[in-house]
Amino acid sequence: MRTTVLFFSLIFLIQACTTGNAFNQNGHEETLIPTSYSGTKAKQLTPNTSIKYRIYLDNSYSMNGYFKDGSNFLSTVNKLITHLSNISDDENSICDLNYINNGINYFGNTKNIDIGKYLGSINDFYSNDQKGNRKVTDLKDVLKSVIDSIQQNTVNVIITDGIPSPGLNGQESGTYLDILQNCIYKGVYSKLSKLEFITQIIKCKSGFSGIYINQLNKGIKLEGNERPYYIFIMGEEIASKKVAEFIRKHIESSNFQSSVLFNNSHNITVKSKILLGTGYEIVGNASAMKIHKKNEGTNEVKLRILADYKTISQNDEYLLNFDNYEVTPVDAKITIYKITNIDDPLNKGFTHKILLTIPNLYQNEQVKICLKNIQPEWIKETNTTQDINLSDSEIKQKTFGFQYIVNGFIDGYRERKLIDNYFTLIIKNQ
Amino acid sequence: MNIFDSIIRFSYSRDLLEHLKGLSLNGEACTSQSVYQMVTLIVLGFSIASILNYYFGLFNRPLFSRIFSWLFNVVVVPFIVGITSYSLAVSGVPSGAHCSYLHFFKTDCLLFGLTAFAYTTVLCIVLSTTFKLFSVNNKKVPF
Amino acid sequence: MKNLFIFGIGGTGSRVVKALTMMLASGMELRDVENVVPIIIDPDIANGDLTRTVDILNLYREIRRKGLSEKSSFFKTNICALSDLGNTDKDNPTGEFIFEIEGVKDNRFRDFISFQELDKSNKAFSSILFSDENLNTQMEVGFKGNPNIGSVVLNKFSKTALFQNFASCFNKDDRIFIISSIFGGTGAAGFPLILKNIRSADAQVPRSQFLREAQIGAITVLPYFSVDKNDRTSIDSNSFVSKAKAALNYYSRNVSGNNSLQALYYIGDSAINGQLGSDGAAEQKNRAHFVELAAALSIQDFCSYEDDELSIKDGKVHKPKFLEFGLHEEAGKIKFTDLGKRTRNLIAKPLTQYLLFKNYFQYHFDEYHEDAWAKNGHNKLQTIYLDKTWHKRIAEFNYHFEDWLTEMSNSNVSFNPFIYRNHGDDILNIVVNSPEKKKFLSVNGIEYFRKILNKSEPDFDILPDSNQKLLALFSSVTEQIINSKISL
Repeated sequence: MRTTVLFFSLIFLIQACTTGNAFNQNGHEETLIPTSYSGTKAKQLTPNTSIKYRIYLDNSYSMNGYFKDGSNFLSTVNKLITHLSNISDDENSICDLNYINNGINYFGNTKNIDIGKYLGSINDFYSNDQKGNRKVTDLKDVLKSVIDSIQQNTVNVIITDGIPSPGLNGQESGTYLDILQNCIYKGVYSKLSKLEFITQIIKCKSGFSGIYINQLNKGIKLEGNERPYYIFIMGEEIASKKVAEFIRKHIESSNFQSSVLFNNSHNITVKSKILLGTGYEIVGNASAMKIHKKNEGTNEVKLRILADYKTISQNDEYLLNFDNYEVTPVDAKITIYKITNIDDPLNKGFTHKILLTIPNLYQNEQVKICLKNIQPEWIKETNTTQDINLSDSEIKQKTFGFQYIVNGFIDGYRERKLIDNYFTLIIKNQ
Repeated sequence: MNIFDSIIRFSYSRDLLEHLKGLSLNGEACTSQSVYQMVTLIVLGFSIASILNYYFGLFNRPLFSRIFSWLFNVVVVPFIVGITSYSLAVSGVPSGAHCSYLHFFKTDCLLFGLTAFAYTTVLCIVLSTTFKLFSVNNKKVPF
Repeated sequence: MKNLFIFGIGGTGSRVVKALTMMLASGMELRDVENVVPIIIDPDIANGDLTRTVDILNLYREIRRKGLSEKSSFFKTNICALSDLGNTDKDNPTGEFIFEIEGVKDNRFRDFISFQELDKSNKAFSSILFSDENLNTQMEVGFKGNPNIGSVVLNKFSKTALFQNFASCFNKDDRIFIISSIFGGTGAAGFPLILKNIRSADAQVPRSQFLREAQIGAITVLPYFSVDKNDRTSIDSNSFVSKAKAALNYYSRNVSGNNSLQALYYIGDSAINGQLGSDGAAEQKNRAHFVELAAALSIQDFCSYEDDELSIKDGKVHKPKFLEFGLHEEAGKIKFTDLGKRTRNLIAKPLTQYLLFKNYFQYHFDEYHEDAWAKNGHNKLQTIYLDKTWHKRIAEFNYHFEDWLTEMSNSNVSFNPFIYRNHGDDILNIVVNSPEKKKFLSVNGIEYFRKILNKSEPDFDILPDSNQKLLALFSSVTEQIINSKISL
């Protein structure tokens, strides 16, 4: 009898502790807001372990400045090629090595060519291994060819200084940039209509001692300077991201500058949750969040929002940059944190945390948070349309016509999808 | 990961929960002192100590071999734990003592104290069912 | 292993048998004795001392039958009636402990010897030996301190069925012990007669050879109490000493003088120990006395001798032993410390153990029925799990045990080693001048008792039933308590 009484007492105690009891202040905490976007769906690449990697290394004369013993460029490229060579070491996988200058010149693959020979031959002007015209880099044709060559389960990696040197004079070069952008756009657009692929552009910098070829096709000698260079990664999403991660991980942080990612994902679903503490309550259903601040006094509202950005293909640099968010009213401020403790059940299923502060949110006013899909600012900052008279600081940062290249990609991707905002959240004080 | 993450709790605010887990003042991550860990240790420590004391220590006497002594033990100790938990939680209520994005009040702390009380009680009962088997004088208490 | 036949003659015989029973219940052992067979010889079967002793013997037998186990020291020695020795149904012994003398019931002595039918000369001779008062004595209440009557009546002993039964049960290794008082009627007359009948058993008596060579011990109790003269008795205690002297004179020639006993114990007390006088029957219920306890110890002493120390040839003992009991210190109130070392070692621990058990059983058994030791295991020890009759018998026996101790403490000389009824926090303060040993932070008194019970109980759960477990548990626990808490 006594045992039975104790047993039921225990059950009662456990019941009393459940969140669904009379003490529960319902709806305080979890309010999920899914936001999804859909577009035209193209053929998706199949993630496969047998990925074909193609490395395109710019070997025009302007690249010679990077190829100095001990340079960051050489170290990074060496690591990257070695890594790709290792991960493509099985029967079905392969890593092709190419030079790019006035065209694409196949050098061999890592199964039968020594990587050292591939890298070493760049400095050797008279090497028989050199192919093509090194005085000319027609990025327009090269990029288009590389984009055209994207297939299922391929990852194309282009390593270049990004300077188009088509061998034209200064007057023609301005027109050339428009043609370059258009050419890339067409290539991307055309390829995206056939299959999905992502493009990541990583901007790095390295020591540079050599000849810089400007828009007038004139060489300028630079000694002990720094120059940016770029790694374009295009192809199957998962494998491409892994390559990008490897570069981010192994490049010295001081030499990594920025990156941008283009993706035509068709199913972006951002899940979000407003964490409401005591003193707030949710009003109505969750189609547009309506909150009510119960306590009188100050109108300041401070909220925490959890968001799941997993389906957004932007990197953290983009997602954590509040410039990429649009917040209204203007006095509202947000801080974004990446959730590091993924094991914490409180944050389970979410990748980022947004702290929102609105100094005055009166009744019936609303606040809007929007994660925009925009061109990163660093692209504009990197671009220059004249490189005849560059200052020292501009030499370190700028690349002639870089924005045209990026815009070509943006245009190509934009045509395939209509996403302006990855995520929008409206909270109304009622 | 904390024991309080895994158990059902009285519905005190989740904000208090995050504060107790040690959410930093800027709200970024749980890097401050975790009251949860402290309370977990207190709950475990007090429960085990009190039950050990009851079944093998100073209370292991025929004088206390009755259900009322046991009940007293499993009420007083959880009560102390509850009060301690409440005190630890309520010390974070003043603004400036917790991240400004968290919103909780003394009632939340009280519910947390009750949660600690309830789980200490449950733990005491559960421990009792095992420890009693090895006790000399109290092997038949509470049943 | 052997039987020990104890002939308890008269009121003193009964009381000594009672004292022995109490000590055997508390755990005293008789070396190499398998069965103790008390045979109480008293013409006065309604005698209060006798009925009480028989009650106690029956209780002992019943408690032991249902409660004894190898792990218990209480009630360890078997006590059975003579008729139970040949009884195959050992689980249900019903034999009587009393030897009923034929022809004494509703008879005056005159009728017993057919005085009226005697011729004139024999009548005249009888009148010389027996006074008119003797001749008119109503024998169903005994011989009222007249050995001359007893010697005539008890002379028929060898012809009785009981004697024949006894003889047929007697084995070579068995021993006989005879308890009698020297100053009364029944004992003084009966002792030499029984001894003579055994030693001179003729060939018609079964196993007469064994009887003639039997190892026989005896104790003759010298006067140790007086009888208050009143209207209800014809016994005059002033004659006790003169009667004792006359009997001793007789013994010197016919008992001790002819080497017919292996060991003869003498015990007595000069102190005046007044008992309310009574001619017998239910009114003869004298207070227990330390002398009886000491007399019972003579039985233990007799059993402690090896066979070769008690050698006999052709009915004559080689080296008879004559022994007396002494105290270490003379005292009006005898405590354990006043006893000789050997006596103390022999009785202090068992008596204290049993008293502890009795007190717990009496005062706390029901109070602490929720304790772990009572509720734990297969055989629980709460009242409802014990055999109801057996439980009642234990209570009755304990009542007699307390009576026995109390009476001894109220007698003169007083045997007063205990504070009998201490319980609760003082339950371990029961031995005079030996308070409970207390330790810092340790539980004491009844708490300690319960703690040791709780601690020891699991060791006894293997016993087949609750009754056995109870006795064994308390036997062990009381011993542990004495070892750790009481200096004896």
